[in-house]
Amino acid sequence: MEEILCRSALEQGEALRRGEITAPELLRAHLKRIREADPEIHAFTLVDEAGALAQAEAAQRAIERGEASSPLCGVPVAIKDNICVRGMETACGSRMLEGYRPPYDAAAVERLRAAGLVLLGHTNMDEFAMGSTTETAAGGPTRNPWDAARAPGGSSGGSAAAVSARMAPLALGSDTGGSIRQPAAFCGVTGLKPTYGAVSRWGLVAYASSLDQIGPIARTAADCAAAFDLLCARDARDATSRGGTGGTLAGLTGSAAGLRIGIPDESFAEGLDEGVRARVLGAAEIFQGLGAQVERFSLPVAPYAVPAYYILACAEASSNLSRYDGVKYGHRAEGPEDIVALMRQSRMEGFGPEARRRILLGTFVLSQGYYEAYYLKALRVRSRIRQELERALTRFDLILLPAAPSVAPRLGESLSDPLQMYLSDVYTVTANLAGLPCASFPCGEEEQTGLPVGAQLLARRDEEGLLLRAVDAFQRHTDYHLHRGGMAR
Amino acid sequence: MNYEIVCGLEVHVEMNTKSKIFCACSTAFGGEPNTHVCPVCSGQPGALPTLNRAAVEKAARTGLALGCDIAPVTRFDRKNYFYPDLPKAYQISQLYAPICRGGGLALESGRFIRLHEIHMEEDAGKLVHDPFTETTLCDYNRCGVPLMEIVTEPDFRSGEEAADFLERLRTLLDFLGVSDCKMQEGSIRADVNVSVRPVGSEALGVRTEMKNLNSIKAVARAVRAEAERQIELLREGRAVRQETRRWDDNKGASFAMRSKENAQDYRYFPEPDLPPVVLDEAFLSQVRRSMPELPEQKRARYLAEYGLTERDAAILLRSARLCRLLEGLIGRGIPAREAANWTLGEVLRLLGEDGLEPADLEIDEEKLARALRLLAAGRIGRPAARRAVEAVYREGADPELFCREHGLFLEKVGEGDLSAAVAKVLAENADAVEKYRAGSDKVFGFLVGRCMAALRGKADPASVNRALREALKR
Amino acid sequence: MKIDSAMLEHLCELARLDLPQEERGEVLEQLGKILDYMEILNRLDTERVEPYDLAAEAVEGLRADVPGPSMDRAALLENAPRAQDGAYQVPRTVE
Ligand SMILES: [Mg+2]
Ligand SMILES: [Zn+2]
Repeated sequence: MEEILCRSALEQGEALRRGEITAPELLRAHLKRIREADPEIHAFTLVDEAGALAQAEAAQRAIERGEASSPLCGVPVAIKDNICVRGMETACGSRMLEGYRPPYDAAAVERLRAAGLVLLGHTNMDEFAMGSTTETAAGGPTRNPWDAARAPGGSSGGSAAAVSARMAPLALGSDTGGSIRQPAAFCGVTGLKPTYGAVSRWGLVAYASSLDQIGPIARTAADCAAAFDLLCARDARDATSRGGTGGTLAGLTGSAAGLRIGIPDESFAEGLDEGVRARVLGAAEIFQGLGAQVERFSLPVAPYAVPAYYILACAEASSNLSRYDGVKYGHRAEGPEDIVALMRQSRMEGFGPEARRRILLGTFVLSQGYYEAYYLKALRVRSRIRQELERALTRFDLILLPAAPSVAPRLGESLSDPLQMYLSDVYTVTANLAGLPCASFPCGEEEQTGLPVGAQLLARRDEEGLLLRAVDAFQRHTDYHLHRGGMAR
Repeated sequence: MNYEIVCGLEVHVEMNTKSKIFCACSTAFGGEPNTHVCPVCSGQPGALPTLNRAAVEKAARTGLALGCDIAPVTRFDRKNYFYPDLPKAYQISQLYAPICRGGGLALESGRFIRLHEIHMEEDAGKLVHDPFTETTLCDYNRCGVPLMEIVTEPDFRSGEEAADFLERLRTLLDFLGVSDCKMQEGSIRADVNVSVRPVGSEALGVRTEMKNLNSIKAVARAVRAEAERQIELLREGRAVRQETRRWDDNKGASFAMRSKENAQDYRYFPEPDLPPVVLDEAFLSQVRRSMPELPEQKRARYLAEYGLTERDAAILLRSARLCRLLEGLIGRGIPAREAANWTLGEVLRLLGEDGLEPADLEIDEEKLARALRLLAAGRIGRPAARRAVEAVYREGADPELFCREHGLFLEKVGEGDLSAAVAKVLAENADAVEKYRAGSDKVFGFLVGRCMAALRGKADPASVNRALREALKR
Repeated sequence: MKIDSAMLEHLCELARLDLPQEERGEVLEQLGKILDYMEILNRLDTERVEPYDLAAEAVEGLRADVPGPSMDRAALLENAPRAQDGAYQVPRTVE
């Protein structure tokens, strides 16, 4: 593998500006790596060589004129398959949207283009972001670069695997209940779910609108900061977008001294694999070594997050996914001559089992007679979770959690029991319910399997700066984020 | 047993904003299919709604005029159902926190009809059946046109009351400037709920909902027919089924819609893509300040200030467009009575000739005023003025140019010609002269007319009057 | 909470999903398990808690009523499974 592929996105950008390499050369190195590694890993659903080359050439001209529009100008980026790129098939890992070419760019894509990044193509994902392993993808699963028999996590499994396997230095993912942070953890890379509203959702195909957020997956916290600074902006086309403070990259001082970090007892109790617990608590010790104060506390609402999350996410999803009816785009069943039958059959054929299950669950919790007991109750629980987290965050600057109860599961292992799969989201969904920024980062490997373990830090609203400063400080003093396993080696 | 009708209305009013309620597409009527469409209103994956401020203002203005309570915070909800005219498979509407509650409107009879609420929502698209391919074509141009749904309490006791309410509501909306109020383009559509109950009973009977009512007359007819149908069922000892029915105005009857469309569960929940909207005192006072003069205030002013008759005022107040024309003419120096006469006379006649509603009136007010000023200055006669007004209305003609080209200007008739004509007329109409001298002033007009005819309409009436009076004195 | 097969059929109808008979048993069982698990929410007291909502916005912040360009119809219909005369074509719906 070429050495340049192992550098971080910022380092690659720096190499471009110094003239060590040109943007088309950097792109070709990544395309070569994709050709070698992706047939096995299957991180990409589509690679747009021609489009990327044109963008790389444009970026190169800008760099040569000294007009690089960002520190990441000319750097390749992979885009999750649920983020619209004009004219590029955006299928959300679903048969339902096979062949769908959006007539417009997502806001996040516009911002990356304006910053001179080079769009490699779309990455694989669980169907409509519904899943935790990328195995519900219509085109087949992505494999974990650390161990091809394992899942990369999900739903942004393709993005995490692409970054982990050095096929892209940076990728966009989306995170509704952990879909950036959990695959990042399973693939040994760093992922950021920003504050709800920091990044525009315009052009992000909705799963659960009140929880969805686009964010970066990269190999370092600094790369996440650079990408976040580009992405974070108020967008008039998304009424829930508020932008954010930005300037995150400039604030990475390397210091974690004086930070107050809380560790919720409930997140280290029953259900957490011993090997994972050891690594995450190890990360706590490292932070202590960096001058942070680490303290345990109790967060009694933690166990209610998963059920509240699945009620709300499925309710919104059942409505968001109703537009796939075979009329305007996507899959339409052949045969039915009655409009109701056409819609029912198109949806049956277009959606996989997990999407169907969540649609039915969401339909149920919103239906007459159950709305109050389920949906409205979950909204109240969501309020309580937010209140309690916000209260905890008056005592602490950050909360440290595992990213998942275990390391990456074997392929096929989780699909048989949906409830078990839902429960594995226990550490990630709280950040989405509360709308808070949260990052996951590698904190070493589990002893038995040698697979990466991810820790999460959760911060106050709009404090991506503080959050990424802590992770960056951690990465300046450790090298877990540089570890490579399996095919990434 | 005698029954009484219990009826409520749900009136969908298209608001006359320039852009749609959740996207910037034009709301212009007509246009090739799917040409006023974007990712938002065609339901593309990843597209998001943004709320049009003008829609909120217009709904609030309507609510204030109808005496409603305006919600301090209003919110949108999703109404989920599948139909090919609804590209997202949900309609963004309001259920839990509509913009207005309460209020109402008094009927001609003085009875007060209470409003339940007013909520905002988006219109659906248009489906057109293609008889050649036996398929349906979906056009999303109307998708996202802003609607207000005005929902009454079940306070109507007859179809005529419902029709009267609609007429009054339409007039009010017209004056508020919140809707084009064009029934034929579907900018006001009503659904009615009808039930019947024994006179004296307080309980509500089983109600049916009737859709597809696109004229005020149809509403009156449909309510009457539906009440009769229900009463007959009850008299036969059968039950009324709660269902949605479609009114066929040609057949004068309603038909139950397929039962599938009756078993609906819309699974409303708060729209997660749109934050709630705060309607604070600052906003409300701004809406109050921009509130136009309403029909009742205008009526008082027209009588007191303009000296119009009750009857003229009443006709004018049926159309905001006519009132605007009247006030425009008065503002351009035309005396009020004269402006009213021309508006109610010639302008309405021309509209009627073209089969148009007052709302459709397009006329250059300044040119119209200039034509009327020529008349007032005695430079043209009344018949000429009528021709000039028609030319302004039809071709936007310049009145001076038109009168010149058509030789309509009155000429200064020489004193000699004038007295010759008068003498000739008096000689030829000896009886009339006698009657005049016997005290009948009526014949004076007749004599003036004869003189004008003798002068081929080219003399100004004032001079003819003067010459005639002098001659008769002799 | 148990969902019975009549309820499942109703949900399929509402969600316009033609779930094959042979899959229904498994789906019923899974939904039942998931809903049973959700019962734990009733252990959390939410009496005095308002349901979560987005932060409200002032009217001034809303979009101004200015028409913008619409989309190229051809680009839109390119994705249509079936189009005719500039419109999306579906089986006959008009009664
Ligand atoms: Mg409605
Ligand atoms: Zn639009």
